[in-house]
Amino acid sequence: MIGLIQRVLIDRIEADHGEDAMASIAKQAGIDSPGRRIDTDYADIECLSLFEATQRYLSIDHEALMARYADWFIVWAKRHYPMFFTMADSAQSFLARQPCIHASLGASLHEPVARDRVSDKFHILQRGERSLTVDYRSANGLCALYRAIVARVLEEYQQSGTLSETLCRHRGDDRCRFVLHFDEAPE
Amino acid sequence: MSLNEPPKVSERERHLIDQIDAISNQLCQAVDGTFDFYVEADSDEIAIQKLAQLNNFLLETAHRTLGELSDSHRQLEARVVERTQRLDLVLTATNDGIWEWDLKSGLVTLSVRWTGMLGLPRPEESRPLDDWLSLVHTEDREAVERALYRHLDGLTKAVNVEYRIRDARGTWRMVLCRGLCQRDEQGRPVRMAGTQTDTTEQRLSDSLTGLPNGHYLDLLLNERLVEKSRQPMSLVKFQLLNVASLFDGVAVEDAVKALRSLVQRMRRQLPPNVSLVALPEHTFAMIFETAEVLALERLLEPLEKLLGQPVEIEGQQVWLSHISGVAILNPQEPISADEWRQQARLAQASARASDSGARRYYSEALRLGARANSRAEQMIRGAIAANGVRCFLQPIVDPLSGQVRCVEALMRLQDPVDGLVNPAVFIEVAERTGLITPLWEMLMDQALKLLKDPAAAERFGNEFLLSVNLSARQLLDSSLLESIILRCEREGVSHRRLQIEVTETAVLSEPAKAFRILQRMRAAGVRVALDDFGSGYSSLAQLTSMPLDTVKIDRQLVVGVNESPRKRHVLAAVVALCQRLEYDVVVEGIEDAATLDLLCGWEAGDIQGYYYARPMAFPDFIKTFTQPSPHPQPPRDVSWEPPTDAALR
Repeated sequence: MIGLIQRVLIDRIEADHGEDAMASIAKQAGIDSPGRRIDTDYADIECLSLFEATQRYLSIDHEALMARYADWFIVWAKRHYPMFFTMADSAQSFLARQPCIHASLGASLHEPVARDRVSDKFHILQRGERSLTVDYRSANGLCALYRAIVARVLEEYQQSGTLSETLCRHRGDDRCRFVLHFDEAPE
Repeated sequence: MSLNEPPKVSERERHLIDQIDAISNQLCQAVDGTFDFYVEADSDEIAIQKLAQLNNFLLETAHRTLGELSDSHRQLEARVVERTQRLDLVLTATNDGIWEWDLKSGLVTLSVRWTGMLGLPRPEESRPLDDWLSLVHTEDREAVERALYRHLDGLTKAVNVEYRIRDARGTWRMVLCRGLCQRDEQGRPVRMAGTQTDTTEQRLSDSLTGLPNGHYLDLLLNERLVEKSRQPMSLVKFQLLNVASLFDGVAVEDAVKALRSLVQRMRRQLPPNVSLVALPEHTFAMIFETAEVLALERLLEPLEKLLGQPVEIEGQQVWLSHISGVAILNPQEPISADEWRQQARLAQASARASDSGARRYYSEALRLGARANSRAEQMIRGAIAANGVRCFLQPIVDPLSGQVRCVEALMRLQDPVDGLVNPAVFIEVAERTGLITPLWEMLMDQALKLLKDPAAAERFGNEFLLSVNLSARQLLDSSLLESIILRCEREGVSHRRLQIEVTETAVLSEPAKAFRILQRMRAAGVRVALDDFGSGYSSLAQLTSMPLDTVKIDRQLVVGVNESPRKRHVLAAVVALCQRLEYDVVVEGIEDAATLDLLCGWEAGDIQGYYYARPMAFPDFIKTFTQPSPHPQPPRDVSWEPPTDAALR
């Protein structure tokens, strides 16, 4: 998984709860020194274990952690990649570009397989005037994170919309599919 | 701090600068145009990592895009190669050459196949259009230019023109040129390109025999005639007459194979430099470079010797007959290819009209004859169109009673230029062209009226016959009898008052069939007369077998009979023979009283001739001809059975 995902988590835990809290979480996750580089990737299990340990540390369920993480992520991204937000004038526009941004974050991966895995994770299937259909392929099953990010992006742009997950790996599908409807069309 | 002194930097700032510098240095690799490398950044600074990451994204995007472009380029190249190979295959299979005319430079580029099909050297550079056109046959050049320029002007959808072009060996080939014009945005022509297909095989060769065909002969004739120093030459047309015999009872493929084999052997009998050209109706043409009859005969001898042998086909032997017509070229006389060919055709037609195996040479007499025949045909067609058939009547009289026993209907044509024209001028042509039938029908429409004419009935009674001539073609028409009966019914006259006159020649073409038809005529009540007996090659044998009522003795046996004892002897014998065979006799050509006296003395039979009346137009005959008085019968001076020397004296 791209390093940025756990970097956001580490930065926020350390900021809100201190470095010891983070070390404790890492220990709980069975990781001596969690990776912090955003231009590399780490084993999926490392990130997922950190998420689980954080969830336990904060005593919240997975959905709640994902909601919090989405907020942390958007705040972190706005600080370090403000241009991506400037480029998008709406939630729909931002989310339509999200697969490309995601792919750019994997650009430093040397292993073609790892790079392709990042690039192929998100795919815009259909683009309507006020809708998007997005396929998400990952064994990590972080569809809850995507749902939370969509909600946070809508909030960021002060827009409203709905998301329905027509396919889901947790239900036995080979992928997750999100159908997004936006109440306002982008300008 | 002085202006030249760099500002002091912190350790972190130094780290950042070093990292940025390291990234820039790595990016220098891109000057080679290769983007398949990664920027490494050894820093915990997010900004540096971000910089490295986004640079890597750009490098990867550039690398991927270039890769995709390269793939696309390779695919396009592969498609171009594949399409070129396919086009080459098609062009090779169709034997097509390619041409391209650059309209700006005016130069034409020709492909190797284009020049190769003409046996010309490989084109090294583009050449002016005129170089191409100079190879085109002069008669076709204008058409080629017109086709190119009409398309250039937007008048045609494409260039499509077939023409003759000279190859490297100096012979002509037939080619089909197709092309299209490419235009710019304003519709102005930029270039024109297309293909050239060799159609010589299809256009200049005969599909049955594989020999050169009539178009090729045209080329040869024209070429020979335009040569500056014209050589003595002869055009020979050679026709196999009964090729159909090859096909009797054998598979068509076998007959065709035998014919092709024969043709090939015929070709081998000719000098190698003389082309054997196949024309329609199993006719072959050759041009020999001699004007000497003896030399021609020597040259044709091997061919005729070959055809003197039977053709073997499926174990059977078939003999073919042939005729030939020769037109010897007079080097001093200007002549066109058409005229030369026409001369040979006339000679061939003359040979065909004679016996098999005949060879005829073109002559002025043939030309005049052909012209006369042509004139006659036009005259006939004009007469049919303008109702110009005139019925003339000549009586046949019983001299002893003076009774008109029969009236012969004779045909004349009313021509606007020549006036009244006798049958001798046109009857042969009418028979050959089949125009005799409409002429005869028009004659009958007029002649049958005689049988119901009140004035004729008053003068000659209601018993006299109407006699009409029939040609061989009519005689062999199986529906003739029904046609005659129908015609008589329509006119309201009895067909039993009809007599038809046929010649021996007409009967002899198909005797069995002719006899059957004549027997049906007689059975139906139509009388049959043998006309012109004693002229030409009369066969006494026919007299015994032919279904006949009357024999009309030709005037050739009669004229001068009083002056020639030998002639009188022959006439007496013929008359006696006919009477013995119980035929009615009509002696034609009686023009004076002395001859009439002689024949009356012999009780020869009925008389036809100027002595009583020349043939007269129908109205004149009705108005002026009156039944003659009985002729006083002179003492009989001939004993019939058998004629004795004394009697003949």
